[in-house]
Amino acid sequence: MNKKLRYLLLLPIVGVLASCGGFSLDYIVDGDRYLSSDFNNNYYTSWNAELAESNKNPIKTFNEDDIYFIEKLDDAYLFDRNLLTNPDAKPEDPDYHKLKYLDVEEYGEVYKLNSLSDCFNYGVQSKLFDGISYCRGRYQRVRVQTNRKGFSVRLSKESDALDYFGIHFKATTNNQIKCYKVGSEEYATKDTELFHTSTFDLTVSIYCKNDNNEIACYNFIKHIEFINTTNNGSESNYKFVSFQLKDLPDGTPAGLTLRRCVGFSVQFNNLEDELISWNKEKGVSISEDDYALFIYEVFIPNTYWH
Amino acid sequence: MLDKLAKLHKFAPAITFLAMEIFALMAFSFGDSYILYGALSLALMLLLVLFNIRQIKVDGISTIAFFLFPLFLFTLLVALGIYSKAHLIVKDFNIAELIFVPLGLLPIAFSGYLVTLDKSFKIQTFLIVIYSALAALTLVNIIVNLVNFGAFYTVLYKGYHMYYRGEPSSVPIEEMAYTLQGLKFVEVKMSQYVVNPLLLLTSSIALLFIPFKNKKMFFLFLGYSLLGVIGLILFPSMIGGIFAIIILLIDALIYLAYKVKATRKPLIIILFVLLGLLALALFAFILNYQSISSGFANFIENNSLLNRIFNTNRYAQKYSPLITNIFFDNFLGSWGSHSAFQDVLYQLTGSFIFDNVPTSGVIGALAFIVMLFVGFKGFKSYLSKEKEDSLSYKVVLLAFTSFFVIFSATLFEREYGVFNNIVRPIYMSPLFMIMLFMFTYVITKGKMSEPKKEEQKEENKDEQEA
Repeated sequence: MNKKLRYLLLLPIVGVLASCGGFSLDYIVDGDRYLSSDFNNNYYTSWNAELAESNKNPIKTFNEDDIYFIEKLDDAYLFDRNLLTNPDAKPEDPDYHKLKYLDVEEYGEVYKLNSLSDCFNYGVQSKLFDGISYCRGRYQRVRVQTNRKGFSVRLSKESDALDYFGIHFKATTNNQIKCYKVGSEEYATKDTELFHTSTFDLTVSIYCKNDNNEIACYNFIKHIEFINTTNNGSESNYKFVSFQLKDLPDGTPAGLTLRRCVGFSVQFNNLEDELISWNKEKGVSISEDDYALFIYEVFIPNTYWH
Repeated sequence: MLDKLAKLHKFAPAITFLAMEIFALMAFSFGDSYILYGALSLALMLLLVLFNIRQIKVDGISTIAFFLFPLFLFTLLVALGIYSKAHLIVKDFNIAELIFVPLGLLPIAFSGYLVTLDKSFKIQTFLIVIYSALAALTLVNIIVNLVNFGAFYTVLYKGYHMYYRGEPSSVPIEEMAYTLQGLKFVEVKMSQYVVNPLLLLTSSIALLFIPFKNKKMFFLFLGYSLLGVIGLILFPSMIGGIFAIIILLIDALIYLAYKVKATRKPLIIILFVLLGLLALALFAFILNYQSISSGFANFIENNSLLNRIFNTNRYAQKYSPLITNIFFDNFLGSWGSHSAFQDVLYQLTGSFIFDNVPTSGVIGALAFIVMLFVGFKGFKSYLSKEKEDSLSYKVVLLAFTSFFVIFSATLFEREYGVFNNIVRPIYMSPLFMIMLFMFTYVITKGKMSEPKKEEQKEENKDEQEA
């Protein structure tokens, strides 16, 4: 073929090939989606195709018998001495478990993932990596709202060894629905009257690449019992759960270190909700889709991303 | 000493080559690092002076003095500390950074004269270098936008926003694009992306109206123009479309003014009428915002078209606080000192006409406009000098500078990053530096004397006798 023609054809070919990407389209959102005042318009249930496929056949499932869960930041120092003001302190020292950080908010500000790489700054999921762990009147702007379908986050970088990860969240129901107060014959007229507790199994899945570059799914299930289920922003209504993969405090090896993490997902099931149950008895149908988790922050500290 | 330096002149072509490298780097806008460009400009000027020292004439320098003086005044006012705080509209520049404004702009402008002292400098080569660098950058930007968004995303995903750090972007996706900044790709406003394809399109005057005589040049610049068109069509935007039409209008006007002498006076008259109307509109704008005559303000508000022009469009809302501040709140202060603007918070207008005022005062802003006026006036002599450069190259220079000034007077965003705080006022733009170089080159070439008629007759007679 004529040399000049060959070079000329190269340009449109490059253009067509380049046009097949659309990598940034994953981060775009139509209008005020996820920021609406309408509760039902804010659910984030997006699943990456690769992770969804992998999720169907998890490699392994861990529950509370298999690994250690920390439900208070105060106890996390057992696995991460960096959280302490004096990491070299001995158990007999008075400041042995004196934490550097006052609360999850401070912890989040230090360990937020978006300070490690710009790749954590894109997409709706960037709300989970910005270090903002509490609502403080910022509502939809700082949380990811999800339902039973859950959501996944595919990361554009891979982690190094991953020893533990955490999640900070709140449970709530749609405050716009008309329903009975729990244990009452009266309808709730304000948010505070919707306060109740719920129980569910929280599944956080970690997705890692294996030697064949295939993505494997590891499920971590934590039974969450009688969590305060309310729209109220009081700190006592938030829940911190940390999944510890390193050796247990008593020295029992957990035998699990995950590498090449490329994503995670959050789901919940086996929901038992007081409000839904009570109203069902009263003949008021509340959909389970009126129940939501507000995820504020996901922590994956002490690992490198490349 | 001078004699020894004069011997260096035979190596001047090497410096000219270096100059071309620097222009290529500037046109590629590598990271918009104006300190680097400023330092390179200074070094280039010193080398050009050194290697052409015997060729430098006072006459030559005096031809560009009327251009250099207002430029000097403007850059000095920008650099002086009293104005630096006004830059913190978006970024807090300090005096160490601002000193490179005069140190960079004045040398590059002076270099436009110095290169004419070396016969190896060819305007043809200069244009190829500039447009090739622009084309390379445009091609890279096209590819990265195709990879990240895909073709026609501005239409397909109109109204969508990109989430960044948990917040939707301040501009919708059709008003943003990726461009290469240094070694990374960043999201910028569409007005920043379209500059390069539009600049490539400015060469269309030498394709459609006054074509290059050299076929290779013709097809090369045809390629550049087509690349610019592709860059605009693949990611359609209102800004790109409007300015593409403006470029074609500029081309047509230049052609008309050159070819049909009878149109020159009417065109100049039309230009002055338009400027007069603009001044009138500005006056009306000020009156309206100050509500000095409430009847006048009411009249505007009650007329839907006038209301849209003066009140409810986003440009009017940008211009009004600045104009109010200049002419009313701090009238005296705004001329000689920017202290008037230290506590003023307002949105940048994107027009150098207004945005230069808080950074160099009204005097500096006026000096900037005078400098541009002198620059464009230089084209008149340059275009009429038949022996100096081919006409096609001349009109390409005119189209390039005309477009850049018109664009900068309307849409030159100082803060053009969508998620990143990238700040680049016009006087820190490498394209502006290239334009300054073009102006002084044009002025110098335009003033170069042609042989007198008696001398020319004697030359012809000598040739015939020989």
